[in-house]
Amino acid sequence: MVSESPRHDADDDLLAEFGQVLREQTGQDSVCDDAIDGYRLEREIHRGGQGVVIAAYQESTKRPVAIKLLLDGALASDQDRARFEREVELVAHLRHPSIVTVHESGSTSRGRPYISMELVDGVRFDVFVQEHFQDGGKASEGQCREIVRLYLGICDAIEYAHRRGVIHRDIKPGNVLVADDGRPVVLDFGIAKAVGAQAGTTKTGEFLGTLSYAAPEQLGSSPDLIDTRADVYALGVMLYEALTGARPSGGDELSLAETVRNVTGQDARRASSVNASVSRDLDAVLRKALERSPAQRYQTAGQLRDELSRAISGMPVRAREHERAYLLRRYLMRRKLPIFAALVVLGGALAMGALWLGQRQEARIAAIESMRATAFLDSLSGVDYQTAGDGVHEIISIEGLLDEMSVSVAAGLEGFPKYEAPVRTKLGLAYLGLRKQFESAERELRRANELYREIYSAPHELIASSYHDLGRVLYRRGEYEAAFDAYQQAYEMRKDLFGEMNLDVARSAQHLAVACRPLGRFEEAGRLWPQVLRIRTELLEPDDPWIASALSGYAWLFMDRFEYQRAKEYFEQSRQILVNRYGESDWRLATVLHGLGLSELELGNYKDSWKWLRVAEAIKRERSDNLSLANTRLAIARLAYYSRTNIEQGYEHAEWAAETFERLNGPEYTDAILSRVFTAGLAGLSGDLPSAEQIAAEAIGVLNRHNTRGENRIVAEGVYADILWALGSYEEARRHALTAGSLLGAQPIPERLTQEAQERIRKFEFRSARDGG
Amino acid sequence: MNDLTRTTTALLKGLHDVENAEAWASFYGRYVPIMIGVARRLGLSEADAQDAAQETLATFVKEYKENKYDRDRGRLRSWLLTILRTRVAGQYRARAVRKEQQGVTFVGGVPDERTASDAWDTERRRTILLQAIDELRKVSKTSDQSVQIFEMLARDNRSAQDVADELGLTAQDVYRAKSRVTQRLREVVVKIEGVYDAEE
Repeated sequence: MVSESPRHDADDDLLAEFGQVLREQTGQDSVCDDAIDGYRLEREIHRGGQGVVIAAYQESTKRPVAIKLLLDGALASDQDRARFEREVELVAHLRHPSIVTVHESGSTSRGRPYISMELVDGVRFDVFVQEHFQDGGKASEGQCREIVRLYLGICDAIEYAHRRGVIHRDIKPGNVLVADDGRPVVLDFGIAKAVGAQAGTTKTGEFLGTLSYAAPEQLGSSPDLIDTRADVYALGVMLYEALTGARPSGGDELSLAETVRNVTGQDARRASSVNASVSRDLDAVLRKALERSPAQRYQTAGQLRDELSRAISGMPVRAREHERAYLLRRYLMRRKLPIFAALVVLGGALAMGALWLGQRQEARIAAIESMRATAFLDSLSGVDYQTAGDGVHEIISIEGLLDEMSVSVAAGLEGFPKYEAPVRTKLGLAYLGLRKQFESAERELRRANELYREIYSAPHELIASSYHDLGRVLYRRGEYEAAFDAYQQAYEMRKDLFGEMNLDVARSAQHLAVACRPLGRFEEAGRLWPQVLRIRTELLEPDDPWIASALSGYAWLFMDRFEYQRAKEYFEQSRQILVNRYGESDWRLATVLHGLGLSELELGNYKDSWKWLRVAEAIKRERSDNLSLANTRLAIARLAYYSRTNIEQGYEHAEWAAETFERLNGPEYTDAILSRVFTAGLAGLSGDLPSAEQIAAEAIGVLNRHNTRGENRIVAEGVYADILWALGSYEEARRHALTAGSLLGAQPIPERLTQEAQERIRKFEFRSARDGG
Repeated sequence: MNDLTRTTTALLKGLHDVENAEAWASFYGRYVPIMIGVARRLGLSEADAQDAAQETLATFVKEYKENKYDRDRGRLRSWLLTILRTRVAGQYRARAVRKEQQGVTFVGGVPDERTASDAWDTERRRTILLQAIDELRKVSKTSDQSVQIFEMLARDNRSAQDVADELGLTAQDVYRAKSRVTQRLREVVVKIEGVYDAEE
């Protein structure tokens, strides 16, 4: 049948030698003489430290399954067995494309515990990586990205399980298969705990490899102290190995001499030092995943997943947040900037200055550089700094860059106003995007405006938009009159140029209307808002967010006029548009929900008010700056006070808002004082009258000093009067109630407040009349 | 199992102290199975042999930390064997005490170097072969039956036809699988032996 040859003799010798060794292997006799009810055992797939995996066929469901048969004596006590069943039960509830589905557990006819699970056809993760990605041991840059992309699925599976309370505890390449359809599948979830073994301590000789993935805290400590972060560590080791072909601290294939060197306790080698194709971002992410202290690591597999995903898509990774230069570079690279920008960043502003200075007489070059600078600055101002989560950190480095550019522009483009003006404009807008850089922004935008007026004659498109931009920065600086004037210039000029039905006209009109608000020019605003709405509904699709923005702006005007029902309707329409486009709890809804909550509050619909304000607060907690969040928390405090519900919660909101306003704007700022007033009111309602009295008295003191006579003063006097009344200081209470009453006609205030103040006076007067009589 | 776990935990703590458990782990994986086998061949029970091997490694770790281990002074293998032989003698004495308590006289000393060294060679080969077949299992696809075929032929001494019948294959398939696996195993064995040779 088959011809005999020396080769075959040698083969047979080796076969015989293996036969003897395999037969001598203790404690792992052939399993196929064992039996499990309802299953046909077919063949052994794998032998490991915990037992044997067998391919089998489940008769009832007629499906192929994998049976994991634990070692004899794996579960010595009843307690062990109970724990095993509990853990398997937990794992059996996991349903994730990258987690092998566990069907059930039980005992074989010989009493050995087994687990039955989905049979996945595939190869081990490390073998797959070796075969597909590691040419000669090391992955190329593109292959690294591919590996990470595959790895995201594994992280996702681990995160999914963690969220359901299952820690893997033994993540290693042997426990991850890459299925034929390309998806990674994680095996043996929680089994390490189920069989009561710590990683690596299962059976003599099984240390090889296994320990390499154990987090430092897994060695020697009690298994109960292990948390999800041990899995994060193991994920880090496994990815390190996949990307570099080596383990973080050597081992395995190293000779003893090298092992000995490693034992001296160096930190993990940088992955990029082992494989130069590993990017510095991935390097940093790996180092953070492999931190010795769990607290320093990524806290969840989800965080690791998100970071990896950022690393391969060129977004900045959090692991390198502290490197300023890094953030800037990453930021600019992501935006695919022209050579000019690369020069600025990589060579520094010096190089850029030199470039410009050397060629200053050449208008042609000035033109080109101006275009490039403009393109670069465009990319900067394209960021929404308020909401871009990572942006906050990028700002720090960009400030300095802008300052240097501003100087260079002055030097390099002087005498070429046509080129200088647009660069100044863009510089100004870039500054405008940065917090507290309004002064520089104003400087640049004013200069740009001057230049444009020199070059062109009004009315001109560029002069108009220059006025508009100037208006924006003046408004942000709190110079409302000047902002109003600039916007008006822009508005009129645009109307001249484009006629009324134009989106730019609408834009200037909207800004002009907003500027009316702090100036109290409600009549003018009342003319502008309907115009903005008309233009946009005419020119845009009915669900355009710009329409939502106009609706919301108009609604705030109704709020100012105490027309709460109409305000509510406009907020609601605005909300509808935004929800249809972005979903229920998108950050873009925060302001509208805040307004909706306030209008419901004023209408006395406390239940709806709670609903909206809570969502607004949740969104702002995620996305907004503290000032904006403080506004909403103050609104909630106010709601708690008037609705007399959730007093304790309301008190916390009020206090936080007060502290935040004080910190950001100073203690005499109106909203800080109003927050204090509600802190006092809520303290009073919760029964702490002495504190309430003290806080309210201080707030009233400040209002007296400023001779404040409007709505806030009336609210404060009312709250104070109620506190004093509750303390039994009736005379004083009456005095403050009357003070509030005397202010009622002075400025327009909501009807509700007037009623409340008058009712209070009636009540107090009745009491003193009764006491007096 | 429980005793083993306990011993192992103590050992792990020792490894942890020197800050690089991983390096020690691979060391452990390579040498502990050999030492257990040697101790078995020198007459200890499985449990006693495991203890002796653990203690040997613990001593090695300690001496290593005290800088007593010097590569130039001798091969790793004789260093480990020296400690192991002392440990085995310790087990002999403990056993002797137990036997004496049962009224039996037992005579035993430190096992001689030659016997221990031969046992090492045998056990080393055995360990390498097991590691090789593990390695092969590791890189095989779940559905690949070749290693299983090889094991049925080798461990169970079954004929190719017999194996073919059970798995629903032809004898030719079985021969091909056997030849493929043998070839791969031979390569892996050479590779692993190289690692040991470099160290010892």
